[in-house]
Order: sequence, then structure tokens, then C-alpha cells
Amino acid sequence: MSASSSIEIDRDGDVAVVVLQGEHDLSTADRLRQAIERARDGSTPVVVDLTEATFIDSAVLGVLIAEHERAASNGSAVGYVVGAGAGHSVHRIIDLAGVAAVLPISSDRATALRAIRG
Amino acid sequence: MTAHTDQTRSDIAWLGSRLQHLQTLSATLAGARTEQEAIEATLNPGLDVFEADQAVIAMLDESGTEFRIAAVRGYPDQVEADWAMFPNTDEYPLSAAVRTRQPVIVNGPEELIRRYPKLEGTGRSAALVCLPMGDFGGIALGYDREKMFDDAELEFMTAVVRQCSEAIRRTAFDAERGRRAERLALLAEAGAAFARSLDYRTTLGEVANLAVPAMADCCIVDVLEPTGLHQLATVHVEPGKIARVAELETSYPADPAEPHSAVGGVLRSGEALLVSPVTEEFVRSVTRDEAHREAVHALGMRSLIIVPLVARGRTLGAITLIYDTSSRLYDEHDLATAASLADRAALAIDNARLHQAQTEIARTLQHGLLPDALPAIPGVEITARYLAAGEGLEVGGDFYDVWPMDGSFGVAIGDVSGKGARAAAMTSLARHTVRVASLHEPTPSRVLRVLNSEILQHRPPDMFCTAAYAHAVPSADGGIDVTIALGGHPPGVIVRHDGVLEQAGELGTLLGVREDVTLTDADFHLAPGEVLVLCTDGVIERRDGGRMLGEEGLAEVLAGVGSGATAESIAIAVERAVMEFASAAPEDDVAIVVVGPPAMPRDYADA
Repeated sequence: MSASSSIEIDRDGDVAVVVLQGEHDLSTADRLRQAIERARDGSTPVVVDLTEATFIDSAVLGVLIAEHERAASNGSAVGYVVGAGAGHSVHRIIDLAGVAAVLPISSDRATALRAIRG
Repeated sequence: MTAHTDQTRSDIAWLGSRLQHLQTLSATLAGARTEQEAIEATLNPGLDVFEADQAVIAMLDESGTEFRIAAVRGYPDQVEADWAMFPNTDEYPLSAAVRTRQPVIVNGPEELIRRYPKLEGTGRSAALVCLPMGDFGGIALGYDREKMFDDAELEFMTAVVRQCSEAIRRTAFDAERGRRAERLALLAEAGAAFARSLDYRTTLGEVANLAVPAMADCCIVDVLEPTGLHQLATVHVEPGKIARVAELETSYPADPAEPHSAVGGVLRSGEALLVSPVTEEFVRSVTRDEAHREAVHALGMRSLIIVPLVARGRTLGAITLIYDTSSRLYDEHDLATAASLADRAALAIDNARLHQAQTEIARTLQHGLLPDALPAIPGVEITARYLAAGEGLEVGGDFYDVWPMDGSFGVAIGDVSGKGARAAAMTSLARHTVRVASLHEPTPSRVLRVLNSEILQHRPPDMFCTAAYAHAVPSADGGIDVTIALGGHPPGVIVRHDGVLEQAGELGTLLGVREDVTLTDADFHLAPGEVLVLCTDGVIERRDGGRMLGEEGLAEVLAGVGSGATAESIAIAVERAVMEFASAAPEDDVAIVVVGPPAMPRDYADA
């Protein structure tokens, strides 16, 4: 699955943006964790954008949840974006798992950036 | 004048014949493929070129202390046997020639005994010329009659011997190159063989099989087990000798604590041992008594290597390589190869042991995740399927459970994120928490709330759980009343008797992350012949390239089984759909539970 996936770190002013593309699962979960931690680099606010992701599984959800808690515990911030363009299965797993109640998920990047800058 | 002509004529004939012998020698040497062939060629046709009656070629051993006879012509067998080995000292003419790199010439028998008293009694040759061959040996040429050698003759002999030496050196070099290639091939083969096996006994058997005959006449593998040192594999080029080696092991077991044990010494020090050649002194140092010494002598060891099997700093055993029958000698290259072989084997063994231990832990844990057998509940068909991803090692976080309560029963299915022992421990906690909570909490949503709190208290930060819990009460009409709650878990699917599919349960929050979760109870009734299908996400997330089975795919499968399908046949259909969706094995565990009241017998339903 990793052949059709990528993780890139962009920058939007003072916020690091981690962009996921393609399919992400157990085999890319560790890379995602490392990318988010590298983007955070201590206390930089991080937005993880899943709009271009076509698939995520529970291992990826686990990383998103753990990184949210890590951010909360060290006073930094993390936000998530799942735009309308994200794969059907991405929306579905987020709905099924009810993670919207647990994670700060926005439907576009601008909203996520505004939210994270307070 | 006539005499002169005759002399000239005879000289010419002699020269012609010598030239012919020389050509034959050159051709034979050029055709020699092995060191021994080149040595033999030096004597035959070489002997004709030198016009000698006897000849001996002796090679210096690798330690430079002794000569070993490589080929003999013209001496009685007894002399050959007596002189198989002789020391590299000036007391022997051949040794002296090799040591000084100069010809040693003895013109008559009295001179021979006077200069070399140790040759007394061997007196076959009247005259003797010994010439060095490179730095590796020499040739002794014997003559029945006393003979003088002029400078021209000596120069000629030296030139011919040099040609022979070059041929021997070339074949030896080729052989060494061949051995080096063989050693590399052996290591490559070992790597592949070790990777195939996860059983360390098999791996060690492979070590011994690979080593013989490529780099040993005999290979013994000893392993340290909790009960002591065990000889795990013994291979000999002559299978008949294995029994003798085994017998020696029985009488004088190798013991890491035994001071007179070569293997013991290597195990204690962790250092490899190269003994080449095996000397009397060495045999004395590794034997416990006279009988032991004799038994070891009987094996006829010429050279040996013992390398420890060390993986991650732990000594697992030792590999012993022995040359006896082939009388070859080990060198530093062989030691390096043996060490490399041992390293690979030790790593393979260590991995196999680790794998074995982990598989056992995994099995034990998995056992705690799934019920041994589903309970028999009157008026209810229950079927469950579980497909584990990976091979035993990766314990999944999927669980399911069905248990009877007073006049009702509970059905739980869930998935703890992550894999391995940590996830398995959490899964076990989840399964048992749901069971216990079901006994005193009034609704499924309350049961899942208890599970949520329980996981929050115990979980590591990156772990969470999804679960569905249904409380089912068989009703008077032969159906079942069900209340279900979902905690981040995919909803169940109700298959109605007319084939229509309905969602079972309201989506809720996953468990173990937050105290405030949204969990809803949903009620429905299953009439006879209708079923509730509960799956973990391994079913709907089953992928093949970019395709995914999805909830739609699952719906198609369920719609396809038709009305009147039993819980069993539906579970099988879902399992088959998952297996057949992709050729690759499932990447995630899959759990499927199907429950429902059985269809009424037709005549009863019609009545």
C-alpha cells in the first residue's frame, strides 16, 4: 500500500502542515507518527490534512489520537482536516469510529489553521 | 676419430632422448589440474628427464615445522611408510636444501651416512641430489650408482625442477581459488538454508551438512541447553566414523566446565580455536586420561577448528570442524569462513528461539481473547469465524464473545488498535470487562461506558478500542428482541427474511480516549430466520490494490445468500468473500459473529 501513498510536510506561516496522500495503514503508521513529530519539532502547531487520503485504517486513527494527546500533554496543538475530497472510506471510518467527538477535525484547511492559531 | 664420432653420436642420441622426455614432462605438467597431478607429473615422466632411479617429493606443512611426503618413486613401501613425515631440520638433506634454497649433493653412500647419520639404514641410493621447490617443498633424486654432477647438469636439473615447482604452485593456487569460491558459495547457501528454517535443530543440522565435505571431513555441532551441552549434529564424510565420534562423546561428554575439553575452552572463552596441525601436545591438553587419548588418536585428526555460536552476546554452543581422512590443514581463511558460518547460524538460531517463544506467548494470549466454544442457547443459532492475519506471531486485537445470562444472552465483538502482546492484553481486558459489566449494567450503552472508563484507566496513549455489544432476549414468537450499542464500531447488519438488509445500531464514539462518549441503545426484533451479522473492520477494510470490500461489498454478499440461509451459511459466505477478495492473506484480523433465531419448519410456519 505504501507504493500509492505519501506523507509531506508543508509550512503555512507558523504552522506545520502534514499532508497525507493515498492509502495509509499499519504499514505507514510509523512514518506518519514520525512525520507529525518532526513537524512539531518541540512545540510548533501542526495541522494534519487528510483531504487527499483515499484510505486510512484503525492504525492511522491510533496515530492521530495519540498525537492529539501528546500535543495536549506538552502544550502544543494539533488539528486535523478531512475535506470533502477525501476518500469515501476515510469519511466512513471517521464516522464509524465516532472520532469527530474525540479529535478536532475541520472540513477545510483554512478553518483548521484558524482554529489552531486561536 | 671414430671414437670421437661415436661419442658425438651417442651424445646426440642422449640429448634427443632427453629433449623428448623434457617435452613430455612439459606437456604433462601443463595438463595437470590438481596439485597432486602436478606432483605426480614431476616424478613421471620427470624421473626420465633426471635419469634418476628414485625420487621423493616432500611438502612443508603450513606451520613450517615438518615435511610430508607427497609422492615417491623407486623406494620400497617400508621406506615410504617410515618417511611419511620428517622434521624440518638440517639433519636431513632434503630439509637442508629447502632451508638453504641451495642444491644438496651427495656423491656416494659413505658420504651420505657421514653427513646425514639419520639416514643410516635407508641406504638405497648411492648418490643423491636434493633441490628446493619454491618455498613449499623439495625433491630428492636418488641414483643407484655413485655419480658426479657437473655445474651444467645441476643447472639443467634446477631449471627443470623450477618448471615443476611453477606447475605445482599454479595448481595449488587454482585449488585455493576454487576453495575460496567454494567457501563463498557455502556461506551464501548457509544464509538461504538458515532463512528457510525456524527450528534451530534443523538449522544446526544444515550447518553440519553444509560443512561436510566442503570445509570439513567431520563436523560436530554442540548446543548449550538448560540441561547441559548436547551434541546436536555430527556429520562425517565416512558415515561409518560417526558412531566412533558419538561413542567418544558418550564416554567423555563435552562439558563447558571441563578443563580438558577443547569445546569447553571455546565455550568459556568465546574465542575461536584453530589447531593446525593437531599435535601430540594438543591431544594431551584436551584428553582426560590414557584411554581418552587413545580414542582421540584413533580418530586421526590432522587439523581442527572450533568456533563458538554467539548471538547477541549469548553463547549458544560451538561448531567443530575436523580434517582427518583428507589430511588437509586449516588456515586462517578457513577460520574466518567458519566464524562467519557460526555467526549466521547463531543469528538464525537466536531468531528461531525468539520466534518460538513469541509464538507461544501469542497463542496463550489469543486463547484469552476468544471463547473456547460458543454456548448453546435454546432457540438461537450462533456462529463465529475468526481469521488471524499473520502467522501466529502477530496477535490481533479482535475479539468476540457470546455468553448466556438469566433468560437472555450477550454478544460482544470488538477491536483493540495495534498488535502484539500489548494489544492482546488490552483485548483480553476488554472482553472480560464487557462480560462482567453485562451482569450488572441495565443497558448495552452502559456496558460500553464501563468498558470506556476501564480502558481509559489502563491503556497506553496510542491504544483505543471499538466495540459493539448486544443484549438479546428470546421472545415468545420464536424470535429475539435485541438491544445494541456501538462504541466506534461498524454497525451490525440485519438480514431480514425477505433478504432486505438493515443497519443495526446507532454510530457511537470509539472507546478509551475520552470520558465523554456518545453511546446510544438501539432496539430491534429478529423474527425466525432473520439474523444479525457483526464484523470487525477487517471485513469492510479488506483491500486488493485500490479496491476495498467496504460496507457495500459486505451488503452484496449478505444479499446474495438468499432467504432461508442459516447463521452458519452466512458466516461462511462472509468469510469466503473476505478470503477471495484478494489473493494476498488478510492484513488485518477478521472476526465475524452471526446470531439469529432459526427459521420455523415450513409446515409449522404455514399452520
